[in-house]
Amino acid sequence: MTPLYILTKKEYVQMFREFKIIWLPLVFMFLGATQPVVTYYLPSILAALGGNQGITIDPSMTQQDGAQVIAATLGSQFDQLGIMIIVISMMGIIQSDKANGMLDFILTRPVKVGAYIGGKLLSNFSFIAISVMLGYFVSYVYVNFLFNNIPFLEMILAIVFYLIWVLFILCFTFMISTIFNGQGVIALISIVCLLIFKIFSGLHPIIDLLNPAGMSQHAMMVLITGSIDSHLYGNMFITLVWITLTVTFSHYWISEKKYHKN
Amino acid sequence: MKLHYGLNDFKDIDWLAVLQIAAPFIVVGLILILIALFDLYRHRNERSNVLLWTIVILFFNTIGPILYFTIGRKGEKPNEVRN
Amino acid sequence: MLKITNLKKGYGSKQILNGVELHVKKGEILGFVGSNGAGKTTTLNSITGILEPDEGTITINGIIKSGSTKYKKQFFFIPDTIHVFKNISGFDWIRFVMKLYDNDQTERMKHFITQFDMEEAMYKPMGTYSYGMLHKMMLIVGFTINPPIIIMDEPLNGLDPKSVLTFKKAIKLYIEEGGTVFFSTHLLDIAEKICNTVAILKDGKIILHEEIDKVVGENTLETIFMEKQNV
Repeated sequence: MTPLYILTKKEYVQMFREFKIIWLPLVFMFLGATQPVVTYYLPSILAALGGNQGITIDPSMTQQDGAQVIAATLGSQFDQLGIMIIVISMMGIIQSDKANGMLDFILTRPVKVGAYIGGKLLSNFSFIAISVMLGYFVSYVYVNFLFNNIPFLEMILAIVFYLIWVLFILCFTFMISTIFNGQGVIALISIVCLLIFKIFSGLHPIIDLLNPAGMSQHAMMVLITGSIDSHLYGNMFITLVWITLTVTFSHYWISEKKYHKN
Repeated sequence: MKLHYGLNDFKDIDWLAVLQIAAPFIVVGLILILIALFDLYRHRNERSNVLLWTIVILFFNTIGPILYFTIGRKGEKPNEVRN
Repeated sequence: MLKITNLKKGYGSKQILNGVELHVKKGEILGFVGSNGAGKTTTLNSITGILEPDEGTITINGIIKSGSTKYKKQFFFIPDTIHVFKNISGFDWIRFVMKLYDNDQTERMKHFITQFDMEEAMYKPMGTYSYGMLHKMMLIVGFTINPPIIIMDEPLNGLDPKSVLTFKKAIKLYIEEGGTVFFSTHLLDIAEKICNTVAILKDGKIILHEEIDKVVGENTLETIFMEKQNV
């Protein structure tokens, strides 16, 4: 049994004891269902409300394509509330270990910094990825039920691209959590930076190429257009480079003991 | 095509279909509320503002439990240091 | 065994360690004493890798200090602040720490659990433990793993008299099996009873490292310590 395996298991035990293992998937399932259901009932809701005020809306105007709805699940549910929930649930990933001495304890044992970081990232990413996929799957089922069918292959491709963006979200929060010591500061910096990345995606092709949030954009494009954009592989490669950089920097910060306050 | 809907038209809505779609929502919301309340009860001595959180969890559907899980457990120390 | 040469560490303008020189031989039970602020904890943190010193080298069994697991398997560190998971039972926690050392000597572990009178508490969550019990847990893991050197920071804090006796016996056995103990404390009478050598740290330097019998003679360690402090 390698330290990586032991530490990954320990993280899962902790998630289990905090009920995180139940509530995070449920929240993402809820987010996933919201978009199709709200979109489906929006015309009738608007009409019912508008009826009293004399405003009318042609229900056929707002009838949407299924692909657009599921793309909106990624773009407006997961990329807003979803990011905030991921960041807030992960902001203590290293910070709490620094604060309560667990980091010092682990690092005086025969455990490499790499194994420690690896265990944290492996456990948390696999868990978040499963939560996001569950939410996405719920959205997919609803869309197929309420709107039209979405090709299975495009559905799978889109979630794979989206998970790369999710991995970046996790690694970025991980790095911020390694550097800073206050939970509020960590959450604020991470959420603001990630939302800025998100806002800048889709503005300009060159910016998109360098922007990790471009992966989310590509995932949505695969769903809507059904074809892969030519910039996707470049963007994927650069996003993976960003991920490597954040992890390497965290590794450096911990192994050089930069986290000590004095 | 009818363009004006009044409140009376709600009668015409197929409630069974609505229920089919809404049921998963209600179930997920209920589970979240139950877990949050259970966790709050289990740690009632360590949390601050227990009553406030009970109200938030119960009355702010879904958002309440999420808030509780993310920021309501600040006081919790799953790990502890003794000196 | 443990060799420290020219260890220096400062925070800003404040110099804590001014070139610590210490050579601990195999079989020593070293009492590492010094007044508050002399740099005991900084020295321990430098050896165990919590801190990076500014200057100097540290080797254990000829292995130079680094982040490698090979170096970290040479010692077992018992800090004075002990980190626990509140909801996990003592037994699970011991097994977790032992796995980090790639050690599964369950029989040996159970032997020490019995010795330290911890059988009943083992299955309770660690949040209910007292400070002394937490220290006993660390001692159980330390003696089970049986590393070349055990480094302890105030190991007897919170221990009841019976456990202190068990501790002495366990240390004796451990030394017979070829171990070395680095025992940082400010309780001089205990150091005098348990240790066979003593090192005094003053203003970031070792001012004395000698066998206890040779130092003590007719005076107690306390008087000698006070004499050295006032030089």
